[in-house]
Amino acid sequence: MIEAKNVIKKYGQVTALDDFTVNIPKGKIGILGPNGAGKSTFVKIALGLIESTSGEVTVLGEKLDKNSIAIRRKIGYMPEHDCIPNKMTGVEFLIEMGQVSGLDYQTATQRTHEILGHLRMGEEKYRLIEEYSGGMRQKIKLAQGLVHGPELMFLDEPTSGLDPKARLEMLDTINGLAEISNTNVLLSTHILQDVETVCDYVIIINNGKLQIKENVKELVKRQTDTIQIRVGENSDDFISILKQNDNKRNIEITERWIRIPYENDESFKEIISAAASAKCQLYEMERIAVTMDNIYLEVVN
Amino acid sequence: MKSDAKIAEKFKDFTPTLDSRANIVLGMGLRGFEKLLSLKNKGTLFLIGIIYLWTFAFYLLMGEDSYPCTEVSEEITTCTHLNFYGDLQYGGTRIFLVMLAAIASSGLIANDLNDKSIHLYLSRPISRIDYLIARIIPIFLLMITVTVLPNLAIFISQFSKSGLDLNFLSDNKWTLSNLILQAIFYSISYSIIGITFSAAINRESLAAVAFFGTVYGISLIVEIFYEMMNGMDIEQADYILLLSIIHFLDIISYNIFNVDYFVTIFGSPVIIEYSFALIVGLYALLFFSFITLVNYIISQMEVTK
Amino acid sequence: MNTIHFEQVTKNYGKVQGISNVTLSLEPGVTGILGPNGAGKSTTMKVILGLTRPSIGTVSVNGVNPFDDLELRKNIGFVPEYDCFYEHMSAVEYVSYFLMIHDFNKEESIDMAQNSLRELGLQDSMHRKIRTYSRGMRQKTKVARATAFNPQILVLDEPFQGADPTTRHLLMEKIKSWSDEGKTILISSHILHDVEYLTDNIILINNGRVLASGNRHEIRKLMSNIPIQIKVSPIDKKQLRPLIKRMLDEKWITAGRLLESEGEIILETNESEKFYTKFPQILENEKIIVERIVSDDDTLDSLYSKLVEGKQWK
Repeated sequence: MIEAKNVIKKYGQVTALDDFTVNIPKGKIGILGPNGAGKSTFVKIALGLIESTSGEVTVLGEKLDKNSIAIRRKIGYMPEHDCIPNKMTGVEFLIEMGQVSGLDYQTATQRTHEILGHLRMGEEKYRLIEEYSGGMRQKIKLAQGLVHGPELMFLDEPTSGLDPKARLEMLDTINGLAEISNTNVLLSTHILQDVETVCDYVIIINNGKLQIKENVKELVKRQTDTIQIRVGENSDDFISILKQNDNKRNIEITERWIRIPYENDESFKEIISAAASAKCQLYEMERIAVTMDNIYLEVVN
Repeated sequence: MKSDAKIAEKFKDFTPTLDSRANIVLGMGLRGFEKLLSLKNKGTLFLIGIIYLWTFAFYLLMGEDSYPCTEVSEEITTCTHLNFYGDLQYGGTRIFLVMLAAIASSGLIANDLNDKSIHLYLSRPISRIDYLIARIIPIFLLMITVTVLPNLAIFISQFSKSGLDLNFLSDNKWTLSNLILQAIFYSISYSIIGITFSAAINRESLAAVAFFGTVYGISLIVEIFYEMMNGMDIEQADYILLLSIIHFLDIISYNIFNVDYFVTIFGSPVIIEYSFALIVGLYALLFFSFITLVNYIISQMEVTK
Repeated sequence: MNTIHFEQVTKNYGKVQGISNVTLSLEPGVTGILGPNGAGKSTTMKVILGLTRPSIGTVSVNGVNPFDDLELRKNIGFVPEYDCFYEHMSAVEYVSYFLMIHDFNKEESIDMAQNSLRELGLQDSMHRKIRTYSRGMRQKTKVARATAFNPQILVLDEPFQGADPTTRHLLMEKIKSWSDEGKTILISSHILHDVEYLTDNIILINNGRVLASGNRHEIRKLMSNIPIQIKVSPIDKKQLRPLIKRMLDEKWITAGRLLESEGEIILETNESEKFYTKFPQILENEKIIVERIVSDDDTLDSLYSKLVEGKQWK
């Protein structure tokens, strides 16, 4: 979908991208990295908004050179900050955006209503944008990027500032995009959980370089060597039974959970029989999975 | 009975044909023009009305027969079309034109900058310059309707006063093309100034006030300085008039009609001459730097996001 | 020490309801306050801070009314959701300025400010003007301002807003260590996972009313009208069928679902306590080993959608 070869981008003395090479497959891609790591620079180059100092970038099979404006026909962009006009209605604004992308009035109108329907916007689409809630504004911002039917949608922090319900809805919509309209998604975010829920692949950029590019499902399938359990009453009995078996065992106990090292599947058996003989409730038992947080912190620090 | 089951896949299969860049820009411009003329913009519509009424009253009803140019004295010649763009007390509509340009242009870029929707426009398949052109078109078309059209009306009324004499047309063919050229010149100049103010001061109402205040304020200050320097017999005094946009545009406008430029200071007209190359060069430089400034302001927005 | 009590507190602003008939108490440790925008989270915080007086009801922080006792403010640190910086100041100047308001002398203030900023990882940039700061650095500065004078009560309104993952992680570890020191911390966040990582104690609030408060697992148990779903996966996948069959023999199991591709069974019960006690014993008797016993039902996501959004059972 996006291929970058030895891309260098300098702003004066500052090097934003330093010999950056990546091959991003189709699908839903999460792009992570600290502030100033080169994330947004890379995205702006891919959108054809700025030029790289050197190197080669291919987006959707088209090589970007000086005349990179045409590529934006195939790309939708949802910026991070609030950037929609207040004095227009949602419908008016989307039709205008459709026309600016090159749709004729009829198609733009039809498409606008289709997308807003898909995003579950009701009659409020005929109201002025200034009356919209944060979640609705975010939807309009998303819709303007979709109006011309792009092959690739770039989303910059789409869930920032949304409350849990609106955030879940936004993630659902993004998930649906790929399935319903075959749109590829590039998602830049600081909320690692979003990447876990939505993305197929994740790339992490730091210091202007690509750190990792991995399949998300494979990544989070990885398990650590710790079993986390939660037990009810008689937890003291439970622990002492566990310790009887092997008192060198490094058991970590807090008010919230107990953590036991995983040696082999026998560990589970021991836990179950300890709970059975202590007659305590075994609320939860599982090997802790690697999370995006672990991976991110490992890569970035 | 045979029935085919179908599922609409409109949303999925949306592969529209997109217009060319030129058409997108033109479309944006025309929609912008329509918006300027919408009933919400009472000030704009009011000023357009005033300019037409003014033209009707002072140029069509009370207009003299001596068309196009009159000799005020042996040296000084004045033309109807030059008067049209001149000061109010001599029958000119300048103050209305500047006001209209200031009000109508002020929101064009300012609003996009203010609500930051400019980022969304610039992520479309158009370049920064395309965007600028699309934003200049509305104000340019608006200015054309209050410059070219009234002047054509005056021309036609003179033609009819001449008894629809075909010789009038052939005698005045240069007048006709010059008045169109002059109208386009004023329109494009005021449009670019308006766009510059709109981009530099990203508050709609403030940009309008700044436009009007700057253009008239500088003109006033420059005239006072000119008078002082003239009193002190400083030879370069003439050049100071080039600093005022109003005076500068008039100088070029007079040149279009190949008439000597004069300023009226305390009732006595004084002819001033400049080298043609100087004023054309200066004009090109000035408006090139305006466009560059606007382009720079917008590019800054993009970098800092 | 470090306790906060609300006794039937109502606060309205003219006709607008802030919070209504709220009774709750906060003990040392982290408590998360969750709810949609405009639910009453900020009003609750303002009442604790003594910035506003309840219309009805009584509030006591460490036994005194925060609105009347200004001394108390020396013991409460507050991170507001919105930025309130003097952009031309550096972080050190900004934080020490607030410390001086708290009656510390100049040297002390600067010293404390620097320590606090250093602890939050701002040592390299704390002398730069705040104007040049990224979102994450701004959040850290706000937290430094709120904690530099070592208050025992912390009120944090969306402290992770816009922060990058590294900053988020650092702030979370800090909050955890402050909690371990015995501070009472109230935190709001739209990212439920962050709260879940920090604490099990929550307050769910909507339309000014407290929908639930306490330990999230206990809250779930109280919702006894909704059966709980528990996922279990045996190590030996051949035991999937025998296990589900065995479990359905128990009359307190109301439903069972076999997900062969996932290698797991979903069991549904109304008597969760019984299930959690009996299940290990059954496994022991049947000689079946499972590697996973989890329920998504008491995650914050699930509680939030059931209680706040009123989604009952899918």
